[in-house]
Amino acid sequence: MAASSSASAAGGGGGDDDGPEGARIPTVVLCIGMAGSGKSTWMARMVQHAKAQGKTAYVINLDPAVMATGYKSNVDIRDTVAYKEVMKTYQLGPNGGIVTSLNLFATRFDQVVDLVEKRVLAAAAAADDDETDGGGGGGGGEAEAGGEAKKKKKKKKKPLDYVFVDTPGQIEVFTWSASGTVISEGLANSFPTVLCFLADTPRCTGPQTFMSNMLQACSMLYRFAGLPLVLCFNKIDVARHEFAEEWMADFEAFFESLDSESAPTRASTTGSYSVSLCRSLALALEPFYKTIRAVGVSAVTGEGCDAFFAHLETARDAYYRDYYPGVLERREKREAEAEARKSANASKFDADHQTQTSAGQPL
Amino acid sequence: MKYAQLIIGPAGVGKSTYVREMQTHCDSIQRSIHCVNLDPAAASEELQYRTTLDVREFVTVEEVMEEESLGPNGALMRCMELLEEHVDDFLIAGLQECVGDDDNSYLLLDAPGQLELYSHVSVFRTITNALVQDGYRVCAVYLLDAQFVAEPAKFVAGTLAVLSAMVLLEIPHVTVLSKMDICPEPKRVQELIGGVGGGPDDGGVDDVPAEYGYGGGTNMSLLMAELDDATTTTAAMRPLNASLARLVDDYSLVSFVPLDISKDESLEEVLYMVDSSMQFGEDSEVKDTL
Ligand SMILES: Nc1nc2c(ncn2[C@@H]2O[C@H](COP(=O)(O)OP(=O)(O)O)[C@@H](O)[C@H]2O)c(=O)[nH]1
Ligand SMILES: Nc1nc2c(ncn2[C@@H]2O[C@H](COP(=O)(O)OP(=O)(O)O)[C@@H](O)[C@H]2O)c(=O)[nH]1
Ligand SMILES: [Mg+2]
Ligand SMILES: [Mg+2]
Repeated sequence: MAASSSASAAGGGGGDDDGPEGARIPTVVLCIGMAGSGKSTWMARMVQHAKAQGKTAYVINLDPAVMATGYKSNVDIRDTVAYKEVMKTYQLGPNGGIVTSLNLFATRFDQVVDLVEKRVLAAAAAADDDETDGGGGGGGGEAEAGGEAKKKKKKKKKPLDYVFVDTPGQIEVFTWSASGTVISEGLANSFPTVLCFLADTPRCTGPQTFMSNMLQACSMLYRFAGLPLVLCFNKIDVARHEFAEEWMADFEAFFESLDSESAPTRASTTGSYSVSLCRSLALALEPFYKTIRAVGVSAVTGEGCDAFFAHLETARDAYYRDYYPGVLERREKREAEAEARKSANASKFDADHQTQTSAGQPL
Repeated sequence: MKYAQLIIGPAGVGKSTYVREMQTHCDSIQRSIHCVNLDPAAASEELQYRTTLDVREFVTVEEVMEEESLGPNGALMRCMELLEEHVDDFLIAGLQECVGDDDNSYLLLDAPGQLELYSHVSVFRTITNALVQDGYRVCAVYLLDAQFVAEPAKFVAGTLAVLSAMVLLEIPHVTVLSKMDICPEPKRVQELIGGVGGGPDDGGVDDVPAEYGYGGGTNMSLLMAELDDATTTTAAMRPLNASLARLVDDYSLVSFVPLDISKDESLEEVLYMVDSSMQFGEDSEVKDTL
């Protein structure tokens, strides 16, 4: 317990890379997006890119139904929950099976957070060993063996830079479920956490589908209580994303496309209602467009990776600046409440204890 | 005029349950409705209502998964593509046969819940357009789980999710907050949707006088005040809060109605809201006064 609280972001403070005991606190990247937007492919790309930059990544897969991921994971929900069995046991369809599997996993998610925290602390300890061992020459065979062990340890326990998290294909399984809340809060309460929302660029080139996707992305900002968001326009090897940048920067440009695009359906009155709705929505989303970190990427070619990872850094800062104070506040409140409960229980115990001796009442 | 409710919303939110309970309710008040299953992934034992038409007679996810070796998500998308291609010969022709062209025919269409069906592809737009062409008035009934909107921020998230579907559908819609019977904070939800001003006797859903019409509009000022103060609201979000509040207020874009399926009055209230948004029954009233 002591380990978990000290390794948690509590010590990270104001955007520092180092926590207490010199532990580096990794950035958690939570991938969300519609089924087929490329979350899993992008996961593999992020891992590869991080490695190529000499960074270390811890990888978590939360999709119980995925057949094969294109990346190796440190924690895989499929090792804990057999989705097909869950379907049989609870007599569920494919969708219910996925939801229930994630629910089952969420009840144990604190263990996953613990694992990551241990990993963070181990790296810090390894770094400490390095320093002390390096200082004293040591003596005889023992030092020899210690040196061996140290080398191995050092290789294994480099500080963590990132924790990448993949979510189930269907977005609502994570975003509209209690388990999604448990998991995202579990991560965000312990580590600087960033949402990575993937939009399927070829599928939002129309002004209305674009608007629909932006509303989804904006919805995530509220759903996950202000966690910083990086909006990735994925698959730019298939469809470039510059149109999206233009529409976000200049609503006149968006209006023009809207008017020309919807001309054929103009005959119906609902058509023009929808156009005017889209206009109002575009105006209302202005503050969102202004502050959002958006980047065009291709999970397949790797284009846009550098810009994405640069956004991760500013998003991490935003976490510490905007989100983390709330974490502290809630934690303090929880601790105060627990304290109050404890003393209430203690006095209740005293009272019970006294009545018990006289009335023989069970606790 | 014919009428159709298109029941949509995330998977597991209670769409099929809504249809089943509406059928039971309408049976008991001897009102005629036709239930249509549009979910090719529905397990056979899952639908506990009588269907007039069932998409699974046309195609099922299981078949497509096998034949085209697709995963469940991909197979559902493929099924809906097929349905879109055959909307006239399967859906419209099927309805003509089973329902006919009676005035006041009333359908409930039970949709599958994968969200990209609403944001990425045109299948539901094609279906509603075909229905409109065939003489239906169509209203989308978007179901959201009440427990996920019991906080201001999540409430806004839900509103945006509804809008993201509606922007593509171009039909009137009513947002129904499902599972009120198991919602841990029903009063909180009531407060946020602005149905009840927190009067002395505001209890659960059933205490709200029917004429109050709790779909009225959200309690935006309350919502925004809370949202701006919430520890989860970051400074960067405040301008967005204000701008979204104005939008929802100006357009009275999203109306919410809570549903507790264990209560007949609640079902009645929802039905009334949806009927009004399609002007169901109003045509005949106009005739009466002539
Ligand atoms: N051309 C192209 N295809 C992509 C890209 N990213 C993903 N895909 C494809 O999109 C499909 C869905 O990807 P997947 O990662 O499984 O999506 P998920 O459901 O969000 O995890 C797969 O066929 C991928 O090969 C990309 O950047 N470019
Ligand atoms: N308590 C309660 N449970 C509900 C309600 N609506 C749906 N459910 C349950 O939620 C699950 C999913 O419901 P279903 O109608 O199949 O959802 P769909 O995927 O949207 O069609 C089922 O286990 C239902 O019994 C409700 O109003 N109250
Ligand atoms: Mg995936
Ligand atoms: Mg269903």
